[in-house]
Amino acid sequence: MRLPRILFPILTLPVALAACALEPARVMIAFREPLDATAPALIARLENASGATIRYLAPVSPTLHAYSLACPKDTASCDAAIAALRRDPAVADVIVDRLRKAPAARP
Amino acid sequence: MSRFRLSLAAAVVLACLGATPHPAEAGRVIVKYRHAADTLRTAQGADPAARLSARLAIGLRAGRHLDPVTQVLHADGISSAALAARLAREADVEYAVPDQLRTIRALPDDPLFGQQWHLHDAQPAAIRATSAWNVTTGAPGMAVAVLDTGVRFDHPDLAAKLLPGYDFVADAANAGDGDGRDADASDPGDFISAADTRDPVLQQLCGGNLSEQASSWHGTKVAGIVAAAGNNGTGIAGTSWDVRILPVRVLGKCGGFDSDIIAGMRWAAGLAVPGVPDNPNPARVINLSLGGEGACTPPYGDAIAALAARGALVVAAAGNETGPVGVPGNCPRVLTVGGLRHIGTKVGYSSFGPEVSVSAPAGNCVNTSGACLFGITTTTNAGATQPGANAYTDAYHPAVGTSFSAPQAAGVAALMLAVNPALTPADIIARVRQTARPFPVDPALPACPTVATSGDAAGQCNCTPTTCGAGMLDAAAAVLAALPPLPPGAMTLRDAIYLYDQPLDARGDKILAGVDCDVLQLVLDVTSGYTSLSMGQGHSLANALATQVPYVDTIQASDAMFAYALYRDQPVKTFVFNDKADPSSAARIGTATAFGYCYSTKPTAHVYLQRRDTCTNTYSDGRTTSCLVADDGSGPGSGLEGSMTLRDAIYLYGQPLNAKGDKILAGENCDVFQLVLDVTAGYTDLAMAQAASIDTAVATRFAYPDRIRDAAAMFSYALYANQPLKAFVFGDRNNASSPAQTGTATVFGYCYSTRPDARVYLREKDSCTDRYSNGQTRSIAGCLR
Repeated sequence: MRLPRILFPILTLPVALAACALEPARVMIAFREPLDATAPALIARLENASGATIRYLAPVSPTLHAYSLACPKDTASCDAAIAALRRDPAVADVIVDRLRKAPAARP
Repeated sequence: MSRFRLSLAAAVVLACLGATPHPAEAGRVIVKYRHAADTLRTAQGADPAARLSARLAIGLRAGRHLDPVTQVLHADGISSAALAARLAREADVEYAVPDQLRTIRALPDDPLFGQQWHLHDAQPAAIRATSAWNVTTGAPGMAVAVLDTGVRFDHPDLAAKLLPGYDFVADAANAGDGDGRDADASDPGDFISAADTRDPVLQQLCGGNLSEQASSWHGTKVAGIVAAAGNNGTGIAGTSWDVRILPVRVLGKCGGFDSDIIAGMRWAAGLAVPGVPDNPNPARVINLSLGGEGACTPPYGDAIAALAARGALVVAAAGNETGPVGVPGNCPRVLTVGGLRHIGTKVGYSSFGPEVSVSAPAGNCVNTSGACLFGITTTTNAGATQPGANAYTDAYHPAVGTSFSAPQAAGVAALMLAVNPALTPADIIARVRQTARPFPVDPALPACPTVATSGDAAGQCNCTPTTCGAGMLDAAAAVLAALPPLPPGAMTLRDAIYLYDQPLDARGDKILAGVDCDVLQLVLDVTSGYTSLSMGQGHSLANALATQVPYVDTIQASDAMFAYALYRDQPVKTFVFNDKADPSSAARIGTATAFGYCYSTKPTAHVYLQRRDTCTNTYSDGRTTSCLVADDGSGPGSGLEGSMTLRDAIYLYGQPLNAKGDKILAGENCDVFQLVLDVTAGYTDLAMAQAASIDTAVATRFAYPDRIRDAAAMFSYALYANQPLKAFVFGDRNNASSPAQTGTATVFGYCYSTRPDARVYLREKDSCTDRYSNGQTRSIAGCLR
């Protein structure tokens, strides 16, 4: 059975989002100078540059801030989005914001 | 001018008088001979050990003299207690006591302290915190940050130790407390409920399927190891039990994101985090019992460097993966702590690698079922999904993991900073590594990084410096290594001369001369006859002698030992005893023992004795020259065995002298302990003692006969018997009703010692506190106000 072409992106979107969620769903963006990291204009600029949907999460330092990064396609697109963010003149670096745990040990 | 009496009271309690002799025993006692005129000569020349041995039919062997009339004696086949009791009955023995090995312990009274094997000395891997506590139990004004799941603020062993802290978990679903970042660092529990397992938001956040689990109370466990209240009669003692805990919540239900952890690190050290109020209590030590895979990322590296620039040390757990060290333990400038079994081999689960700085007990059970024998006992909570009763981990609910090694090292770092706040993070890491004890070797295990692969020993290996750090964490050695060096130009004991049985006759003066001594001290014991004494200070020996001031008293054999000090800013200081101007006096014939101490900032400062009758100069190294040869200024200097030096000093201005209680200026491990006392209002009584412990010293104190009043000049006293504890007691509880005792005094205490851990402190019985030279105070155990 051939699926209608229009359904194809809808069916593949969860796969792409899952791939994105497993890798860089959250990032820390290091800016070159302290700025208002929540400013809508800044976020819109970063979204335009990266092609991702960006949501501000939390400050880390005056120049380092955490964002969620929802990529529209797949993991490669997430990588491309991060690379695009790094090219922004205000951005010094983009680092994946990973989850850490209290290490568990077997007695 | 100083005046001092050395004679100690004879009321020394004889311990264990009923002890039974045993053929294999080797008795060792300290004997003090009665201070009769002929006893000193006997002690020096006639071998009193041989005399006693013959009289008592005991094979006594003479040991070293502690002073001219006090000596160590040995005998085989008899216990020290029995030997002491036997000798004490002799008429020419003032006292005889067992010569016991003593250590001064600041052990807490916490009922579970006995279970905290990792803090004791017995197990090979234990960190010897109990020995470190002889020096410090932490500075109450210092904070150690625990970045973790938060803490239970109502735990009785933590409540008084906790600073307000902050919650940095930004995501409400992960935080589990209904919101994101807030000022509440309490731990609501990191449980995963059945409902949580079905929550898509939490599943997405946690990165996979969730399974139900009870709360870990991980932060409460870690905080207790760092600094649970010690000596409070409750639960356990923390590694640095007087330091404060700054709880910083960065871990929620599924752990914590780098962004929250790094923000928490910055805030803990006093760095700005936008949108968060500044931390009013910046921590000097940041404990991170957390981690994850991967290389150190720039945000961690930058944050750790920024923290180091503010003097804050990051301590991290190596991890429990039996593999490479993860983030943040693999970042530069981090004190990364691996895990050891109680015997000192790597515990199976501990991660390892060159990033590990040092290793410490992490908890191991030995048994595969039943009680866990070597878990880490710490604070926790009994609740599963809600906070329940506050509790402690135990053999059936053990705490194991490198999460619990790291806070031991964090506590040790806090102890080090308590004695030397100037230490940088790099200094601390270097000293911890330098003082770590070597790893033992279990022949049944491979050397790391090869690990045992099967059975109960899986993952275990013999640690090496490239896998488990420099060695096993040693709190006592690390604290000693942290003590600050002497400041440049510090006055130090540069030279000393001991002259026994010097003849006092009419043939000529004897001159004890000090060259370039900032303080020249003479201790004089006239053992027969008498002498007069003159003192001078000048720019040359001739000038000092020409301008000397005759001492008004004549010192007799029946007098107690006297001490004097000269400290004017003159290069040559002299004590002259006997007097050539009165050569006819037959009564002046006698003997004296003299000690000369030269304290100076100049390394070449020295003392010598000039005998005018034989025209010789005698130096401390035994060298003699003609008195006609001018002192060349080089002298022996710095020739003291063990380099006795000024180790600690305390300055206490305007101390109240009141009827509420004694003040005790105590010197621990000081070879020479000096008090300078200036009563500025009212008066005080003074007593002095030297003993194995402060309690014994106070019990056997010898009272100075005169009251010291505000009208008197500044007085100086010194104690220097070979006893670990020396004490000056002023004020007198026995005379508490005397209003005249109200007043003030200024007190200076100087501790000279060969031991780097020697220190002074003021014990204030009215406030039940000990006060140290670094400003630290500590409650006196068992003290009643």
